[in-house]
Amino acid sequence: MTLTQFLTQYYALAWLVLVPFVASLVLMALPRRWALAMRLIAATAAGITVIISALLAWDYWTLVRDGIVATNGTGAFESIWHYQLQPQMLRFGAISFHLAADGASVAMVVLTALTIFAGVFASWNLQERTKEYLALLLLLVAGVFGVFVCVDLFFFFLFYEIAVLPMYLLIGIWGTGQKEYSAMKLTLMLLMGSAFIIVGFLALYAKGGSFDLFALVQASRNGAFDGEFQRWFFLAFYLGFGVLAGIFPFHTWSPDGHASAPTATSMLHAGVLMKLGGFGLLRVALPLLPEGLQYWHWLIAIVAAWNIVYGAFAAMGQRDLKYVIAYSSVSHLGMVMLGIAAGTVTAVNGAVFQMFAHGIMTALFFALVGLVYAKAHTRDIDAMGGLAKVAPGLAVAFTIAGLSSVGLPGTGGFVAEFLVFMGAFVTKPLVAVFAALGIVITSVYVLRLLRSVFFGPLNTKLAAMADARTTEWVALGVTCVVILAVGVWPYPIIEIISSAVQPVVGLVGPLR
Amino acid sequence: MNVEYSYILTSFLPEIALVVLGLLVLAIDLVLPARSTRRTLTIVAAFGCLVVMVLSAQQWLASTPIAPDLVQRETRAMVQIWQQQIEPLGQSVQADPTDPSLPRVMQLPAEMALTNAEARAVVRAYQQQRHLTPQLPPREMGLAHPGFAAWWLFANDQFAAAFKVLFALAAFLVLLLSVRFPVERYRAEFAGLLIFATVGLMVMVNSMDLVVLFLGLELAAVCLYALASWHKGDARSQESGVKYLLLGSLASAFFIYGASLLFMQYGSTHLTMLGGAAMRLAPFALIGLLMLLIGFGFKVAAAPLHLWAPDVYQGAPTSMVAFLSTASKAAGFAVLLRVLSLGFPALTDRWVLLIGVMAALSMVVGNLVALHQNNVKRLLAYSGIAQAGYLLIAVMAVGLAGLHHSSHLEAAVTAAVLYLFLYTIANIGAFAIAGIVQQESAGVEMRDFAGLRTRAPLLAFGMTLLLLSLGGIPPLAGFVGKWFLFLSGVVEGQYILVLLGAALSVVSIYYYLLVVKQIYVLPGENTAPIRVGAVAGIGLTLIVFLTFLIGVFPRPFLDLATQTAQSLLHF
Repeated sequence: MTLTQFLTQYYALAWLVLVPFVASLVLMALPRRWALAMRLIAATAAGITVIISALLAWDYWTLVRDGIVATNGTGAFESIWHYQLQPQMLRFGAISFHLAADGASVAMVVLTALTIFAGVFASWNLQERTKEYLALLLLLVAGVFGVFVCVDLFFFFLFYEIAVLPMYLLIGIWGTGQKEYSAMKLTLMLLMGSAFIIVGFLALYAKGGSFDLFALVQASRNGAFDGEFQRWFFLAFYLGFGVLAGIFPFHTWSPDGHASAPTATSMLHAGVLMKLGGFGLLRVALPLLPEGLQYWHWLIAIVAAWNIVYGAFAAMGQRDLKYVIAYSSVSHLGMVMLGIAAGTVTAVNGAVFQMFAHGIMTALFFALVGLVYAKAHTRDIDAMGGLAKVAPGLAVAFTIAGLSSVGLPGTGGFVAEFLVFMGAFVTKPLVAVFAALGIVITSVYVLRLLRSVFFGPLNTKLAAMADARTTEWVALGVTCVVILAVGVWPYPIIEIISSAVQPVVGLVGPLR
Repeated sequence: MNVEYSYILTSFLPEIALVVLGLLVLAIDLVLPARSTRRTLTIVAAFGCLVVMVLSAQQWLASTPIAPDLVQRETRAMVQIWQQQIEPLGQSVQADPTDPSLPRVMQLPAEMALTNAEARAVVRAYQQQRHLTPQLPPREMGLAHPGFAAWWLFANDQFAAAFKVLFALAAFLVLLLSVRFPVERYRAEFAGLLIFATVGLMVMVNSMDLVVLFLGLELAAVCLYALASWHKGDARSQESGVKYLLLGSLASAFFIYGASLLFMQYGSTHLTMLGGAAMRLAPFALIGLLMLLIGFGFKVAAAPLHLWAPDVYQGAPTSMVAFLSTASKAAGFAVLLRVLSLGFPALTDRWVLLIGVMAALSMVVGNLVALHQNNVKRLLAYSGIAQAGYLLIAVMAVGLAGLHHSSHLEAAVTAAVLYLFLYTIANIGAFAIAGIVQQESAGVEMRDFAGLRTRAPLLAFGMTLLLLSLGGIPPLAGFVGKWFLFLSGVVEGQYILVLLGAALSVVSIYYYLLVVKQIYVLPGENTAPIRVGAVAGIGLTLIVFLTFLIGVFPRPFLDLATQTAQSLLHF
């Protein structure tokens, strides 16, 4: 039995969703005193998802390497899906619990598993209501996994909502600052986006006669969706998913939300959840409504470029560490949208790669900010300085994340940005040039941040600050290693992503 | 026993059982010592309702409408009357048996001696005959016969049976929860009136004739008027009762006036007769329909006929409100679906517009006004108005589907039925918890929920789940329900209306989350733990469990709803 058969036969994708979900239920049932047991259970559940996702990634890579999944542009949309699962029991009407994964799913699943694994360790020392915190975190992750592996639009939306809602309580209860305001703002803006998405999904069913992605792609090929329909509903999806991807001017929830959220929540949110936006566009809007991208790509590209530059400028002006990282996320996610709008295989590859690379990087960033805040009790950049002397470990990790953010070769950020700009310069040179300004500004604020927080004279108040501890090193180590690994040897992951991107770009065709 | 009376007995078993139960409760109350609390009596009454629910479910399972021999004999006699009456007029019965607009009543099961075609011919002939002689009363058809009348005036189909199950379930839950609340000395009368109101609702959903429908409506309404003003010493309860009585009577007046206009025009108030007759646009048909809609709109508390709801909900006893906001509303929707789809298919293009406007208004008014409510009961009242708006989308879709794609008709009715079930269950729970908090705190303002997490963790968890379900958050029942409601609108091309609904349900999540915030995020001043009590605890557990179950495993419920919808539409 090959590994592919093994993973398919033993429902690897279903376990990805079930393990965190069941762990979340188990945690809810445990007595409040068993804090350590809860952390261990959460870590085990996260570890299991890491193992499953690693197996999936390895197996998908072998499929790509052996040419079973074509990466040379010949593969049809249907041929890239593996590990399919469609139990009869969960089928009702036009809806069925249909799981399947392509290259993009695999990449995102790996990202999610790594982030939650790091996230559990990063919040190891959380004392207040540990049980509910970990349970909600795992519930959220179950939703995220569901979105990435689900090809039925009903369950896609169901998981999408499950991924959004726990955020309200996570920020509202465990957050800092004006947490109630931020939590409500974030929840409402994201749900407003999903109101557009649900109408879009229902309309796809009304015209295409199915909720199943494969059937809908077939319907789209057969011309079930006319030009006007495609244009309007692509716009609806762009707005709906775009809110989550932080497109200007719907990004305002993101800085507030991230700044108020507790560490692991920020990590998951910026690292994974914001990727659902770009992923949704890629998974649903592009293959089903190609005419929509043909019509709106200029709008998307210009907004994306503005996101990149505006986010970077805004980050430069912040004094709060978390706000800096949050605005840098807005800037970097513009890169994802720019890649999608550019519409070439290279650029869309870059966009998906950016989702992956930025996810890991920003998870590391937020973990670091959380650690610094926990130890220095401040997030004000001006109140820090010279932390490298007392916490060299944190400084090293922060430098790695920062350099990836700037896009230094050898880090994941470089690969992603290079691919996006390589693609974008071909189809939209002016927009790309403007967007490239963002990279310059990014290097300004990242380097300034490094200087004023970690280097320079040590702030005497912080002389007693401790470096990261063992459990915290797990979080930092995992992410640092992955950033450098995908930066140095991006080939497998690009190939995996490319196998999924090519058929979609093929459906859209060259942009007019 | 005479076959005819045994037929009536089996057809109305749930109603008869409920009446007997209600009378028994009142009789036992007389013999009980005056000082006894009568809590046990309430619990016994509740479980009586549970038995009635089983009887109704039995009726649902018996599926096809029962048409006994006596009906067959009657129908045969009718055929002969027709032939005698029509022949001298020089007209022969030339009915098209495949005409889908023929009343379901005439569709006898295959094993009956009278074929479907013959039965259809009878009705078609009646329609033609009435066209010639408009005063022709049903008596000419032999309808005076009690057995036939029962068959003719009452649907006794799965659609009715499903709602009987729902009402019995609602009465069961509400009676269980009412044990927790003070209803002063009159616990037995409270249970009795609630049971009689349930009977009224059952008659409503069962009826095929506007006059019978009115009987049920009034039976339920009169009981509910009394229940609304239950707390004699409380001015708010008095206000609530008077307001409900005055406005409710007005709505009833509109309803009966509309029915009489329709009778004036068509010589009948029977739905299948109206359905056949309204083919021609008559001057008073629209006014009559409009007046009926006003009556129903009041019943379901849809804007712009919603103004009574917040005041009544705020002042009336909690258990009564839990019943009023759910079972009564569900009954309104059930008859709305039946009356509009059976009685007025020819006027669809008119009423669809009205329903659409009502849907949009209800969603906007309900959700936006709810934002400013501090009192959780008023908030639930406005959220109920908004929910009525979502449900009206499905009613509108029923009309639109009837016009163009009959294949979508079933899906729309299914969506409405499913949503009514889960809305009823969740809303009873939400009101019950609000009532418990009201009783344990000074009031039922938002801030009284603060710290509920520590005072009663399970209540806090339950309230959160129920509110999120009402808001349509997965994996709870409300999500599945809303999905299908919105779907029914979208397949009919109502993108804007559904987008409005989806966007406004985000607004609704805001105010539901405000309550959740009080429960989980903010610390409360009052930290005294709340004891729920075993009986109410059972009820609430059942409610939360069902809400979760429908959300994660909707298929069986969807199948049941589909079958129910089919029975309404097979005519």
